[in-house]
Amino acid sequence: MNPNDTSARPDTPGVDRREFLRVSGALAAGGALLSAGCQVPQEATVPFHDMPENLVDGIGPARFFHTVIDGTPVAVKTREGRPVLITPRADDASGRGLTVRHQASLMDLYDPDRARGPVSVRRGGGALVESSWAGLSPDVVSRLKAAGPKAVLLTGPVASPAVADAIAGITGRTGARHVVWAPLEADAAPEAWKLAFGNARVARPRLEKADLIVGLGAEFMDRPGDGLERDFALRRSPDQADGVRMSRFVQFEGRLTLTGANADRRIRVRDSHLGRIAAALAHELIVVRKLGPLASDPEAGKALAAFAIDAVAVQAGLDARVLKAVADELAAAPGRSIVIAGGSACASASGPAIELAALLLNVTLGAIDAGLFEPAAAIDAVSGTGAALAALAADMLAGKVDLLILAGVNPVYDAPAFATASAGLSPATFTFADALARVGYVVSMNDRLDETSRIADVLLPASHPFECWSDAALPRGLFAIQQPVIQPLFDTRGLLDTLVEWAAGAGDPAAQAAVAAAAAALAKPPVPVTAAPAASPNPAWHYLRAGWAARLPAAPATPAFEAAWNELLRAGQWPAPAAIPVTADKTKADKPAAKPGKVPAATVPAIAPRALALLGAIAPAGGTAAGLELQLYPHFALADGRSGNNGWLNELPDPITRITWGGALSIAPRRFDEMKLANGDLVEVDAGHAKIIAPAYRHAGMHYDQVALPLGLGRVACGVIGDGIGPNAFPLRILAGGRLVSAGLSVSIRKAAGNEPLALAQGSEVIDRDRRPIVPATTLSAYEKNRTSGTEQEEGGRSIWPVHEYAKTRWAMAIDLSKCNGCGKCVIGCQAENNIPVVGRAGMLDRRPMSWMRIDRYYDAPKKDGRWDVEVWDGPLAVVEEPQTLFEPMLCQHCENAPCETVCPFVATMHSADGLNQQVYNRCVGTRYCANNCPFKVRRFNFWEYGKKQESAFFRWLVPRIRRAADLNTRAPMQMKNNPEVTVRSRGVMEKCSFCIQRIRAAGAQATRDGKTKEHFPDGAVVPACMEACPTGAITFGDVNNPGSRVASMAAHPRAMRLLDAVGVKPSISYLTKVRHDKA
Amino acid sequence: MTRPEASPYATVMDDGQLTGRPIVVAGAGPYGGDVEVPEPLVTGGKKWADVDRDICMHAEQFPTKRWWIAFSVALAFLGVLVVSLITLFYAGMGILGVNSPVGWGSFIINFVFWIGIGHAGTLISAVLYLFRQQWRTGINRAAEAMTLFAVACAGIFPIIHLGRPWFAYWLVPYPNARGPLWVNFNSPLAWDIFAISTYGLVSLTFWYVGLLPDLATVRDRATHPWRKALYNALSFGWTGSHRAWRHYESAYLILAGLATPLVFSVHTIVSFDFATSVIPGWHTTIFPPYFVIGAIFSGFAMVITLMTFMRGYFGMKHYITLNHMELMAKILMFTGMMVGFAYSTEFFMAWYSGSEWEGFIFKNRAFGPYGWAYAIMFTCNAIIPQLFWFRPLRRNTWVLFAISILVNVGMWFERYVIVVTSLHRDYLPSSWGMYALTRWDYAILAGSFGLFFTLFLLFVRVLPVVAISEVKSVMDPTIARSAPTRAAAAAIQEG
Repeated sequence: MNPNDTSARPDTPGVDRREFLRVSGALAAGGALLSAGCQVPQEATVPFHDMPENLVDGIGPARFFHTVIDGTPVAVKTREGRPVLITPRADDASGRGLTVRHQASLMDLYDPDRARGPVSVRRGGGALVESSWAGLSPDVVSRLKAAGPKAVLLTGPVASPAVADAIAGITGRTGARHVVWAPLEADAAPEAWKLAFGNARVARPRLEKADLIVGLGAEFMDRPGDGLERDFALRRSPDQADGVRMSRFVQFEGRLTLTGANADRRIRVRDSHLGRIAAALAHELIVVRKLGPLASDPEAGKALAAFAIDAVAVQAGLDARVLKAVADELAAAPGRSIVIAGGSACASASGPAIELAALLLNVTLGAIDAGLFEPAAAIDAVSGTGAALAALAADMLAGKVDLLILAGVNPVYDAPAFATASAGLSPATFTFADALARVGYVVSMNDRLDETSRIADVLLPASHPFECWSDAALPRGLFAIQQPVIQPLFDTRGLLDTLVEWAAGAGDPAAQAAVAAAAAALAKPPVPVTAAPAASPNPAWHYLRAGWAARLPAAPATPAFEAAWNELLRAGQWPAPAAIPVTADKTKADKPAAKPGKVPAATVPAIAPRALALLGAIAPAGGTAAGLELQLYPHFALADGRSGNNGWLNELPDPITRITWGGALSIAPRRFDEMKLANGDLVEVDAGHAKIIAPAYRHAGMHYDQVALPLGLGRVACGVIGDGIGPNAFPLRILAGGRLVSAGLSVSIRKAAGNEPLALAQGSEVIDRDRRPIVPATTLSAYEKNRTSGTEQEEGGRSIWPVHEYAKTRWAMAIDLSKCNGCGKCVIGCQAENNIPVVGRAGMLDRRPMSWMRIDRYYDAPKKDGRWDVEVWDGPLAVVEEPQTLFEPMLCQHCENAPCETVCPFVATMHSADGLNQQVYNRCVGTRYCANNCPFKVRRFNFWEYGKKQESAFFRWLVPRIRRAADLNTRAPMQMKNNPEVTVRSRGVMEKCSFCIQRIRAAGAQATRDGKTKEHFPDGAVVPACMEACPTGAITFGDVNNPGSRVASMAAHPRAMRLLDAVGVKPSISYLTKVRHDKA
Repeated sequence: MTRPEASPYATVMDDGQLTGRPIVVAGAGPYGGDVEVPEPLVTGGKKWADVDRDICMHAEQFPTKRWWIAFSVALAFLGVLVVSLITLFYAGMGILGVNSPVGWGSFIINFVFWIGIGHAGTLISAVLYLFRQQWRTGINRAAEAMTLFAVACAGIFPIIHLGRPWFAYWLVPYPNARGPLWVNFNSPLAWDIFAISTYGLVSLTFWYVGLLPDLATVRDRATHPWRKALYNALSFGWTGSHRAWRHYESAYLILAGLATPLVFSVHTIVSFDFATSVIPGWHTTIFPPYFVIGAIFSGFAMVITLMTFMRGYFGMKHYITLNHMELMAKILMFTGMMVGFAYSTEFFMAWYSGSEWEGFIFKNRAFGPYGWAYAIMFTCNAIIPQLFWFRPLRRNTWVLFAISILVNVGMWFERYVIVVTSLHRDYLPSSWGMYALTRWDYAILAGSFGLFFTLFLLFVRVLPVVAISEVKSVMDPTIARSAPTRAAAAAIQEG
């Protein structure tokens, strides 16, 4: 009998083979199910009941949504229902620009320190108690009704018409007050415009139309939310089409800002002198040269009489010829020049005067007549919130407030000290926390137990804008819908949801209707997914749609309305260009972009004479004002600090100081050296009413009499990541004349004991471009003589390596340094797209950054007699009083002869057939030879395990840094931010910029599906994350082998320079010269 | 000093009587002139039997208290190494000082340092053998052992410096199922694998072949049967026949011929790790000779350090005489001058090349933030050995010992200067940074010395530390042939 024949064995007892397999398979499956049921915690996910065919996690198309964050339209990319990337809307018509904070708000969404649900705080002792919406929210309604006019709703500026309506619904029914607090809102411009024109509709300048821009402490790149830096960049290329000249930018400022660093000429003036300088320019043009409509105005002449250019120049310590030269330039470009103020410098006592002087200059130069300001009716600028908060605080202290509801504001952290109303009280000032203690019941609707919430009574946590419905009024008469892109991660509710519910409770009929509709939707049985979308059980959705019914062309509850609504959600903006038929009666807002040209002169109202009185306050007092003054400026990334727990923002280097994870007191190099300080030495700043200790930083380009501190740091209750970083400078601000003053503050500084090392993102900063030609830069006059000027460098020799052959595509990048302003949005874009961890302050101090992209900021060493002033080779120069700033985005250069490729013994980095320098994480064993041999030092090594926690408690104890790395990167739900298209790298491997290879390969797959494998990729087929995030279009990516591509023409441009030719690495990235407009 | 009647040239001298100069025998020449006779290589009037006893004694006695103390210290440092490595593997490279511009730190410094030390042994045993330098017999065994242990120490570092050391075997090119994953033969790190493993293997073979007759001597003297069996196996059943000796001598000569080019190739290839890169300060053609001579320099310094111990603690004064020490001091001085010349040449070339990057890096090297390291390197390596121009200093063991230590400090800093100063400021100033060792770096450096000395102390306990058969061949038969000293005779009788 064949022993292998199992079929015919009648004697075999029990089961046969098939039976055995069947039973054991069932047992295994059952065991797996049981053990899974026993061990895996239950998750509130909704699995696919019927798995769609071909759906694999991380594979397949992403979804994109249009929504709004803080009144700024954005596009959100989601994978598997998770937002993973925030990008600017390419077709946004509102003119708004993203800030890095908008981009990084993805991390805010997944912030593990957000409140997970309603909390009863029990102020004044007692532990926190977790509660529920059902338990706390109705109670607030009854308290609202009971408190009546003694209830106050304190919010940030309300950009959403729906939220404003809901608030009105509450205040209208209960008599509660609504107070707005905006810690960083600029008051000066609205005040000046209101005095001059009768309304606070501050017009937006159109920088793309101006030949000459004069900035008076302008900060449009430091605070880029209004998109001006994009307009500015449109005119910054020296090769303008149609004979349009490159624009020239002259900036007056005391602190070297990002904006000033991009100026063609920068003139150092301390903040408190800016108003006089502006008035002196106005005097020169209006009184001396008799230009413009105001020349014949005796009032103006009288008000400006005190500001003769010579006297003002002496006071400011300037040469009068410098000012006259600027006046000459302005006078030579009437109708083509624009004067802009604003920024931190205008938050001084003389801020409105600066704005008014700018206004006088713009009127004189005909900037408004010539259409250099947008004529569209802008939204009223928010102003006076400091005074409103002071009044509220006084009421609270006096016991006149029974119920305080806070939403999205943190005044305990960011309000200044208030003066008590009646003199003689001790102490003479009180804080917002003092006032809060006298309020009967405090409800916080912030997103976490922050400084304010933790001394409130209850925290009803608000959802992230990505989790809830709302809308926003945008500039240029546009509106946008804030649509949720993910279910709330925690037990939180959108602000509008809560407000609608309370308004309904208070008796507002619209809100009641919405709540009823939502309840009805909830009661209905679930509808199959395939049918038309069901009504939402969300009151905010009903409320919003009811509000929008007035704008949309069709009546509610009709198919036409649903179609219009869906189209609105898709377009994200209303009126959407060509998407929704715009009826004439609904939109009076004209579209400025489509209507260039002159605005009739009659539209420019005369400046009211009473506005001129502002100038009286800043009239020169004779002699030079002595003493040191302080400017408080919003932290570049963190702004007012509300995203203080965001690792991306904390780790983004300040574009000028290059400080990460904190901030420092900026001191002029000369004063810094006189005080014998070193970077990081602690310094006490005494403003009289408050003192603060901060590390010192040697800030090139600072005015000698000015120091500066960033606001937005020093949070103490924002979370594990951001607590205790840097000093909190908000208490140094004062309220004067109803305005928040944060510049021109008189201070004294002295050295304190100790040193707190600054986590600088850059090693050295001064270069001698003759010796190290690593940033192509030139001046316009040199460029017009020689188009290759600025790209001179030592040429490389012959290579012994064989050249790479490219069958079709060779990917390459070009970066126009004339357009790059160094804002760092590409850095955040790259970090989000490529799952790049943050390394924390300790990691930055260790010089182990992980960012694949960085913006190098160099100071071009000043020349004297054709020689360099000082030895450049040893770190910072002895004195850099007036540096020429150069920005250079630095990322993997994808060299043709990559030195990393030859030295890796494991072949973990190699050249691809389409010109990429690829890094294969699986193969990498981590010799770090490639990083050493990289002349650009763009390779990043995973010194720690950032992607997951170290399991062993012993090693977490032995090496505390492991714990910190986990805190920064791996606490749930932070992993949800990860882009599934990109590997999360493990410890011990090298990584670097991949040119967003995931997007390249996706485009390749698409080309294959479309049957276009033989053709070159068209421009725009692949847009890497940095290019996508760049507001100014400085980065161009594409196939350099495609003769028609933009990148090919840029790589062949005379301005193009590939770095370090002498080394022979042959980079794929071309840098186009930074051209400074030096012609007056 | 006595001179037996049998031969006018045979001289019995004690270690203290050595002068380093030849003995002038007046009127002894064939035509009545003076004859200069070199001083004996073995002092103290040792007989052949004395040699066996003196050298095998350490492997036969119970260890002394002094040995135990030394061994426990070395073992403690080895423990530090083990603990540090476990932490390193669990926690990751983050615990070390390496960072973004300075991707290589103490581990590569230690690697080159130990490989350099490993140069002297094979040089002494092979090159000096081919050049018929008979004085090598006193020191070659210990020097070769030192080489092996230094290579063992060096071999650890390229593995532990990897981000994922558990994949280190991927560096070995053999047909595999990982793709197959093949190594990149363009990479100097792949060359290192071949250079170092070849060198280690040939050195081990050479050392072991030299040991065979001596292992047989230990076997012959052994009384315990197990011991006899063990050493018999280790000596491959050496019989001492003429045939065996003839084959042995041929094999030894061939191996010496094979080992000689390796002395020069290993460090040449190690220097390619740096020289083939594009980093200013690394990318220089002088590196191969510069590294080789530096390695010989540091190796000899380490030999002097060890021989001082052997003379002092293990009573080897009669075999490793002051004359030996002086000869090594001369080599140290000569190689020190070559190293100094290399340093100067680098500077000249940096200036002469006209390369801005090159010029900067050398200026920065000597006068930048790591100028102190450069000063230590230059002083210890190029200036201090110049003291050996003075005979009294060459013959003073304390001075020799101190200088040998200083030279090795200097040579460690030479590698520190090359690795750190070149990397910390290269092309783009934005990525400039500084490097500092962490406590774990220090612990692993100290631990590597623990490993080295543990192995060396075990070596002196179990193997003949001086090449017995070779020493016998350089002794004057007229003295050594006579009866053993009384003490030796007594020992033989007792045995």
